[in-house]
Amino acid sequence: MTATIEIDSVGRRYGSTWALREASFTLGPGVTGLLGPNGAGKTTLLRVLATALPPTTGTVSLLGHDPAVPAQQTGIRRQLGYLPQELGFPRGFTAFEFVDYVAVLKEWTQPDARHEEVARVLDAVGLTHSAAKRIRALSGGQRRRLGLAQALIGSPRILVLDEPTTGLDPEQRATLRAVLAEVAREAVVVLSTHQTEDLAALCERVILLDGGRVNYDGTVVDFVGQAAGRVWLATEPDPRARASWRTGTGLYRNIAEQAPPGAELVEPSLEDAYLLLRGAAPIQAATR
Amino acid sequence: MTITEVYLDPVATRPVARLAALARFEMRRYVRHPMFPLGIGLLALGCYYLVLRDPLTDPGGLFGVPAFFLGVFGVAIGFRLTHSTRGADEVLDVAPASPQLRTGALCLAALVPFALGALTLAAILIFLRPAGPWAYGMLGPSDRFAMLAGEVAAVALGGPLLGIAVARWVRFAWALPLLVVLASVWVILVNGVAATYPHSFAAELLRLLTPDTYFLTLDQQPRQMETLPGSPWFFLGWQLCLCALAVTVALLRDAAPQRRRPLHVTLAAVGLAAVAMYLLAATGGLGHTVVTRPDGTVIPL
Repeated sequence: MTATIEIDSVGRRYGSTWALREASFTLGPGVTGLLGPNGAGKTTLLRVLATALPPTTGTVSLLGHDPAVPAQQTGIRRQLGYLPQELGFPRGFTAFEFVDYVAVLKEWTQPDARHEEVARVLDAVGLTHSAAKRIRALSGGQRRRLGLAQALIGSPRILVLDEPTTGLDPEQRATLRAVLAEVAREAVVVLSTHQTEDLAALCERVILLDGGRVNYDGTVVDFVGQAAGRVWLATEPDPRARASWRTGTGLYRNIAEQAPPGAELVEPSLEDAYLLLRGAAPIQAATR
Repeated sequence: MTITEVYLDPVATRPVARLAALARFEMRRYVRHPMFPLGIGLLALGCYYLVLRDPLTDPGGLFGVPAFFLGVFGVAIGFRLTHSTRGADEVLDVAPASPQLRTGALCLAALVPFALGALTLAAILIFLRPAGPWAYGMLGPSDRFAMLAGEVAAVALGGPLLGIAVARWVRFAWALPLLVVLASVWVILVNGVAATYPHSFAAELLRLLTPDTYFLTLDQQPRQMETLPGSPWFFLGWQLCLCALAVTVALLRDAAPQRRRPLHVTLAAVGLAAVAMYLLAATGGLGHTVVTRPDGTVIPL
C-alpha cells in the first residue's frame, strides 16, 4: 500500500484534557471513516490530519512530509482539501466567488484555469445552477456541498472531511457518495460521520475512536463481522442485550451474545457492530 | 512503504503571482463593498458643492469631506473585509497561502481608495478656485501639495489600513464602531485643543499626533486665514509611516515564528521613522501661527 498518511502515537491535549491519545495508523488511497461518539476525538484527529492543529505528542507524516516543518507544511497543503465540521462563509460572497477565493488561496493564479476548476467542483457537488447565488440565500444542504466543493479544488491527494453529510437529504448524500468514490480512486479520503449507512456505502476502512483512543481499526467487512451471530430479531426486547430497539416492522432488534427466546438471527449492520464495539453501557429501548 | 513525492507546480510557487492574484480579488471585494460606492457618491457631492459651486475660501474646511468619505469609510470597509472571512478561517488557514499573504493582499486593496484619493487630489488641484492667494496662507505650492496629499490621498490609504490592522487583532463585534468613535473623537479633540491654544507648542504637538490634521484655518471676523505651525511635508511622512506601521502590525498577526523577527525589526525601524517624522513635522515649517488677510496683510502671531 502507498502510505499517504502515517501517524504514530499521536496525542493532542487541550489544557489538562487529552482529546486524542496514542493514535497510530497508516492510510493509503481509499475512503476511511472515523466513527465514535461525540467527544471521542474525531474532530481533533481530523484537524491534525488537515494540518490545522499540531499534535501534542507523536509524529505525523502526510505525503511523506512533516507538517511541523513550515516549508513541508506548505507542500502538503497544496495537495490537501479540508471541510471542517462548522464552516462559516464570508458575507456578501456568491457560491462561485467563495470557491474562487479559496482557489486563489490554493495558488490557482491563472484566472481562466481557476474559473474552469471552480466550475468543475461546483458541478461535482451539484451547485452549478446556484453558483451565482449569494451564500446567505443557499440552504443548509447547499452550503454543506459548497464546503465540500472548496475542499475538492485541485483534486487534492488528501481529503479530510468532518461530517460531510450533515444536513444533506438522501439524494444529496447519494451524490456525495458518488463524488467521494470517484475522488478516492487516487486520493486518501478521511471522513467522520454519525451516519453509519454512509460509512457502509463509502468506506473500505473504519477507525473507531472512543475517549480519544483508537478502539478499532480495520476493514468495514471485518468491522461488521464483529457483530455476526449477535444480532437478533425478536418479538420482545431482551433485557440482557447490549442494545435493543423496536424496528419499523414492530419486531425488536437485539444485539446480544445469546439468542433471546424465539429470536431469529439476522445479518448485522455497521451500526450493530458500532454499538457492540463501543463497549458502552447497554442501551435499552423503551417498552411499549 | 513508498513515500510519495509532493509535486509542486512551478508557476504556483511564485509568491508575487499569488499575491497579485489575491490582491486583485481583494480589490474587487473592496470596490463591491456597499460603502465604497456610497462614499464615492457622497464625496463627489461634497466636492461639487465645496470646490466647483462656489469660490472656495477655506481649503482647510474642504478636506474633511474626502477624509471622511475615503478615510473613515475606508476604516469600516477595511475592517469588514478582513473580518468577513473569519468564519472560514479554519479552511483558509490550511490553504498554502499564508495568513500574511492574505493580509498583504488586503493591504494592497487599500490602493483602490488611495487611487481614488489621488484622483480627488488631482481634481482639487485642477478645479479648486481659492478666493485669492491669501486663502493658502503662508503655504507655498510645494507645501500646499503636501498638505492636500496628506489630507486627501494619505488619509484614503491610511483609513483602510487602520481597519485591516485592527480587524486582524481584535475580534469582538463592537470593535468597528468603537474604533471609528475613538479615532474621530481623538482627531476632533486634539484639533479642538490646538485651536483653543494656538500659541502653545504642546497643543501643536498634540495636533500633529493625529492621522489627520489641518494647517489652515479660516476666521470669519475679521476674514482671515491662519497658517498653523508645522511642516506639511513631514506630516505627510508621519502619515505614511503610520500606514507602514498598520501594515506591519497587521502582518504580525499569526506570523510564523521565522517571520516574526524580520517583522519586529521592520516595526522598530518604521516606528523610529514615524517618531522622527513626527518630531520634524512639529519642529519644521512655520514656527508660529501666521495670519494672512484678503488685503495682503501678513501678521505673525
